[in-house]
Amino acid sequence: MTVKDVKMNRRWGMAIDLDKCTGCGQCSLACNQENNMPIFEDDSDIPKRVSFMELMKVTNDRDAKFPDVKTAFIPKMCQMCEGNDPKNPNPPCVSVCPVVATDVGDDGVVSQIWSRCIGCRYCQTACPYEARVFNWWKPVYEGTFKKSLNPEVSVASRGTIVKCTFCSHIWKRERDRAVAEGKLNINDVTYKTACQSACPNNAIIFGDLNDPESEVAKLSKSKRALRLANAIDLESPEKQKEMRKVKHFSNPKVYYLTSQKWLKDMLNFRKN
Amino acid sequence: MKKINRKDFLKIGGGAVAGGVGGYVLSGAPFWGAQWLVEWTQDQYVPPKGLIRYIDSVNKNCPNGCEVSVRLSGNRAVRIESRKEICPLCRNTLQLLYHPERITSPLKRDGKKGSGSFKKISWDQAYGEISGEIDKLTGNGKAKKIAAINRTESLSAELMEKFIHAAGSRNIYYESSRRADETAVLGGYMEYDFDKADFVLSFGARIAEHWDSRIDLGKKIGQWKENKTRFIQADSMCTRTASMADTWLPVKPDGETALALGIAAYLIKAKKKSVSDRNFSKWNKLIQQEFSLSETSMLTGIPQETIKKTADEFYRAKNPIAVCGRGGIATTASSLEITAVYLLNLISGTKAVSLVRNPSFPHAPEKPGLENFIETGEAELIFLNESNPLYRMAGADRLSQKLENATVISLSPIMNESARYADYILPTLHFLETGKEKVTNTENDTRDSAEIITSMATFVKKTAGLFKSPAASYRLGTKTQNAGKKFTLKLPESEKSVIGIKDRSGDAKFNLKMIPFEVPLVGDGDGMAFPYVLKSIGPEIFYRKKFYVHINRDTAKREKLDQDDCITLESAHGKLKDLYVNITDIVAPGVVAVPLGFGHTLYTKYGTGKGANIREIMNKEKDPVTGSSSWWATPVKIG
Ligand code: SF4
Ligand code: SF4
Repeated sequence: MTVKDVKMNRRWGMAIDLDKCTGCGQCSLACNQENNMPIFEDDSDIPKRVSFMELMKVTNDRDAKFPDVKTAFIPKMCQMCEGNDPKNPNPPCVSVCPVVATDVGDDGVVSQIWSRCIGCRYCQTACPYEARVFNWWKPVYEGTFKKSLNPEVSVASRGTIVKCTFCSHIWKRERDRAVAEGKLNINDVTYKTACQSACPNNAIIFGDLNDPESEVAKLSKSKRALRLANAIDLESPEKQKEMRKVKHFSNPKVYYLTSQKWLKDMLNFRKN
Repeated sequence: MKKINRKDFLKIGGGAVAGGVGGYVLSGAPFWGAQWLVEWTQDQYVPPKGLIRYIDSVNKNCPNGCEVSVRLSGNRAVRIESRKEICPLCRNTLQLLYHPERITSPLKRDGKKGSGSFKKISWDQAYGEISGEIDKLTGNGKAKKIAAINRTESLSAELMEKFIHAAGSRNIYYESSRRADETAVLGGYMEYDFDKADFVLSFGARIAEHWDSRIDLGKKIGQWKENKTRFIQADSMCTRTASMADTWLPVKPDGETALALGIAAYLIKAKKKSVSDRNFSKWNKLIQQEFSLSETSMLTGIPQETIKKTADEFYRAKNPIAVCGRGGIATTASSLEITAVYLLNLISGTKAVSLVRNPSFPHAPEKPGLENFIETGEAELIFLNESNPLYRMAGADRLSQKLENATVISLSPIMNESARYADYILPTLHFLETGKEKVTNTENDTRDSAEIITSMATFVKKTAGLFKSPAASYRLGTKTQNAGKKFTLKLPESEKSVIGIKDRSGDAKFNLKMIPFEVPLVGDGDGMAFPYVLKSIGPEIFYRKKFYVHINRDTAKREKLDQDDCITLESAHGKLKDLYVNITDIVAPGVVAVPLGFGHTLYTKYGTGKGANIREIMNKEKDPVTGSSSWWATPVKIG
């Protein structure tokens, strides 16, 4: 048997418990470091900023007055959409790419190969979650900051689109380690994303949605689970079927959990 | 034979070209060609590869003693991981390790004080000259004129305490410290066992916002939800802590003290609670008089019924905790508030709170409170041990005078506002470069802060024999002793200071109250030197060089303000200019909420010149017991 003979059974997904998230920002720090985020002279300049994860602070103050207000944080990265049919994944961003710089792997991860990208930005326009960022400037790593670059993630260049890849290089590292130990079944390989490992509050759970025993699969079925701006989630299964026939939905593999009604409404752009 | 004319030739040629193009296209060559072209034009940097391995290390200078696991690629540290929770500063520590603006060798002032002009010197010259100054002071009976300002309770702070004491001075201060303030009031500080609690009542302690620099509290809030521990938060702003609590009591700005006193007064009276203390009856009489339920309700804006219900719940709980120290990392509370909150814990008979002291950190300076020292203390030689009081404390103008007139020695890895006034800057090593925990090398001529202090001591006559073992063998003292027996109730200096909290408004022209709030990762300003921190600041805080303050919708209307208006905020102590308005109802009417940690004037090119520093216009009146000034509810107006 070789690694190639084994069919990938995993379907990586994520569940983020917004009721547990304090907004400490450690997930975003870890992501920046793991994925060699460029260091510009002024990273507080938001339109120029390049990062995979955005820690969004949200509040219901549009619909509520002090003191009936609430605040929460939504760590947002690529939602790893799969489209209407999980067996034949079709995320909004993939079909538009003219050079196959972005694709869906057999593990469900929507990949992005920076060096293949020609910078047309079709995918950025197609992504409903603003999960993709464009390097308008050449990513620099000023002075000695260069020393902390992670060799496992290639450094992007000017004029390319980058995005979260669920730290798939960590999976590769773990796979190589397993292979070196003689374990050739890739389905035995599990891993943790940088953001999940960094969260001190266990708010981010990553794992295999195909494995019904996994924590992420259980959480995705929870009543508290909801996906970002995926209106179909709020409908009955029958209605969902009907809706799928007429429209293409993003159907992300990132689930957000909350028991707060206002936050659920917000995740789907509803008034509360 | 048919002649091949030009037309035919072109046809044949065309066919060949078409065939060639077809073959070329089908071969995939254009794709690879384009790919090659793309890569060639992209000019990508390729980080050098090396053997991947992990080394564990402990940050002895972090108040949490964070345990990290460093991923190395060759000899480069490329990622901080951990098996346990670690604090955001340690999580981001590679950006300090590899910061391009680290100071690389000892520096001596070379020009006017504060001019920022320095020249490189050797360590021996630095030790020799500094110890000479110290010997001069101790020889002239002026040992008390030596002072040190520590950042937090860390190993280097502990060694600094020992060193300064041995030199003959007690002038050791901390940048706003809950422990120092509580020790001044209670003889020890409150230690909370959050696992034991079945009811948590927090007086403005922003537990989810890295309160007291603790890293485990976010998880605790989750556990409280699971095991049905009630969590009530009093705060004048809708922070994340307030939203995570079961109940949020939206007190008026600075209403936390009145709330604590009101609940104490009610419980003492209604539940016949008392404390055996000679001052108790006098104290109680005062608060009964001034903080009846109706009065407290008026002062806090919380309905009487709610106060009573909260007090009853607190009383009924088996192991309740009343948490003191408002804010996130840099917490403060007045002596009255500290007393009231401690009394609540005392009369509840809770087993989840104890009063302790750490003998390694006596917190017993000549006069309590760094701000007190800034105002009235006298010093001719000041150590700044990883601290930056000029940025972080109120009263910077006075402090800069003080720093100008004294010999200042700054232990710091990077330049900051206070180090600029130094006569000597002693650059510290990063914890990953030192001791047993060393994971990587530096080419810089920098040293471990513990080593700097112990070596310096050997040069000073009075302290030559103080540190006998090598610096690396010292460990942070974490053992605490019970301090409960030491507690005696301090009476407020005058009735007025109790009643004083009722009317802080002072000058009527300052019609608004300013409160600080925390921004993720920025902390109280430390984070701003690091690009990865800047990357996470939200647009509601800082957007395209605009620094936003939060103002309630109704207040904005009253003040005739629109979203994005540029304003000046004015208090009795100064003005903050170029602030932009963010209209949001997460703050109470009549409040201007200003993010903490911005407005550095010298803190690397990343941190400098972003936003405004709230401390410049904060209250300056000192608490009579703690010597610290209150950060909360500074009266301001929009100019
Ligand atoms: S979130 Fe955007 S980038 Fe990610 S898979 Fe969906 S469409 Fe593509
Ligand atoms: S690390 Fe966890 S708690 Fe902190 S912001 Fe990210 S998800 Fe939230």
